[in-house]
Amino acid sequence: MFQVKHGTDLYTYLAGAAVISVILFFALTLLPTKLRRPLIMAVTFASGLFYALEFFWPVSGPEGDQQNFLTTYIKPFSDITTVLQSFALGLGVYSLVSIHARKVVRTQSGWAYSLILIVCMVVMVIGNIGKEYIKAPWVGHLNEFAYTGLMKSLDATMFSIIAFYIVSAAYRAFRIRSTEATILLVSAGLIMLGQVAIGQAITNGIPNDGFLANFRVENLANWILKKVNSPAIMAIDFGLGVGGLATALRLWLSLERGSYFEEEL
Amino acid sequence: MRIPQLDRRVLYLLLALVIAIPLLVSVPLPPPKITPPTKSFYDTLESVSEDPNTKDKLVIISCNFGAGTLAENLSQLKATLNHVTSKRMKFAIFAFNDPQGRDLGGSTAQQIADKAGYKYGEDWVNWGYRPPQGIQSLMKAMVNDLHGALGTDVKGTKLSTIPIMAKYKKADDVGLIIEFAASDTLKYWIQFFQRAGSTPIATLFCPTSVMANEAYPMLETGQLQGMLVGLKGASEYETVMQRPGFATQASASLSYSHLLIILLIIIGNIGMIQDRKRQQGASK
Repeated sequence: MFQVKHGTDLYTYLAGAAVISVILFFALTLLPTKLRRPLIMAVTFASGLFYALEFFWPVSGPEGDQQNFLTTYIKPFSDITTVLQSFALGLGVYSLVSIHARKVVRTQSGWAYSLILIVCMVVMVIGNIGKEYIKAPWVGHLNEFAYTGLMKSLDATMFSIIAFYIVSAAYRAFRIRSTEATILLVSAGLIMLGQVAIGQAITNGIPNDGFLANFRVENLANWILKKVNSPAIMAIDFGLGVGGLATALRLWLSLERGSYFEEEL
Repeated sequence: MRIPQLDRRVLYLLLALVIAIPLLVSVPLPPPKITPPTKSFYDTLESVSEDPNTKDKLVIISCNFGAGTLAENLSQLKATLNHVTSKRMKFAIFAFNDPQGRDLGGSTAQQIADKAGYKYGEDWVNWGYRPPQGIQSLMKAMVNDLHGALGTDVKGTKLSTIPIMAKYKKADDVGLIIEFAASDTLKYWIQFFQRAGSTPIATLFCPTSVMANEAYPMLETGQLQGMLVGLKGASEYETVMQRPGFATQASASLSYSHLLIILLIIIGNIGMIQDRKRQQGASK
């Protein structure tokens, strides 16, 4: 049904798709307000139904290539999703630029930061996207300066600063004020020691085998991670899964209520 | 003797010194113990590379990290790629969470591939970056049609025309998935790809340390075959591979900074107990 087109056919199809999209776009804006919600509900339900049916419908065919009648449509649906997401990206860029450009033009409080944001965004776009299409050396240098020289280093620096907050917070807040806090502190201490070579060296005197080996720091840490942490994470994940399923059903059936779902369209 | 309250600037300075000194000068440190997740990571990669059913299949190297976690994820990536290339396994770089992963993974793979005598397009390929918002549907499409779902590589060349991809067309042609992650991206492989073919694909995970505890249940259930836990995991792997690199050098910084945090917690608690006793004495 969906064949890859090349040459003139490709451009004809692109032009056709653009014309149809524009007509559809204007048709949607002309739709009466009370018909918009049922339309969104119908499209949401149909989209969700496709993936649900494709997942649950029995498959047939040779081993390793088992499909049902919907499987072949996954690829075009994937492409449609990507195209829709790219609209969201364009909308995000437009929103960001319009808000900050307005701030700069009106010299509102913090306008200098907005100007830096816009300049950085333009430089990064020219450098990073430009290097794919413009072969001039300055584009490569600009990308090297903006991405490797600035962004990568700033990103790594910002993240590494967390270590300093952790030390400060651990020193000030990690106190044995209750039984629970004491258990937490002892567990955390064992895990930390068990994860690093110098901590493991503390119990190097204990033999590697036999009953006593259970008291080596790395084995204690491993026991906490596997026998205490894992069941707790599984329980949390199970709860999250059930909650996620309920939320997904509410979204699929357009039952969700709240600021994003009850606004007048 | 009353323990004074330490100013936060002193704490910051202590931590900076404890991290920087081992990186600048050699500091004695006992060799790390190889933990079970690292051992199973190594064993899995070895067995996949030797098993006649999987040794010629593709290894997907999923690089979902940015510069913020370079110290952990890049060290894991280098150690793993050294192992993959030493076994002459074909691999594909892929990123779907952070666009930086495409470049960081691609440039690292290029360096290691050059040293190993790998040729781009014949021995390895970079699939590039795909936006995370549509990753569920993309992965479902990849199960039956890698070429169609992904389209082109990072250079814009059609996958169907790249020699290495001629025999890798669907999930059944993938022998191993290795996820390098700075956030919760492993679930997409587990949910939509790992068991979608005729046989389950072995999956290995390289998270940052703070994320690792969430993955331990998957080691227990068999959904994951091995894991390198942060920088420590990378240093263990370098030890197993007998190829010391940045992770081995940085593990001293990691060890002593952990020790510093524990010491500071102890000091903080002693100070709190002293204060409490003094307040009780004053109230009497």
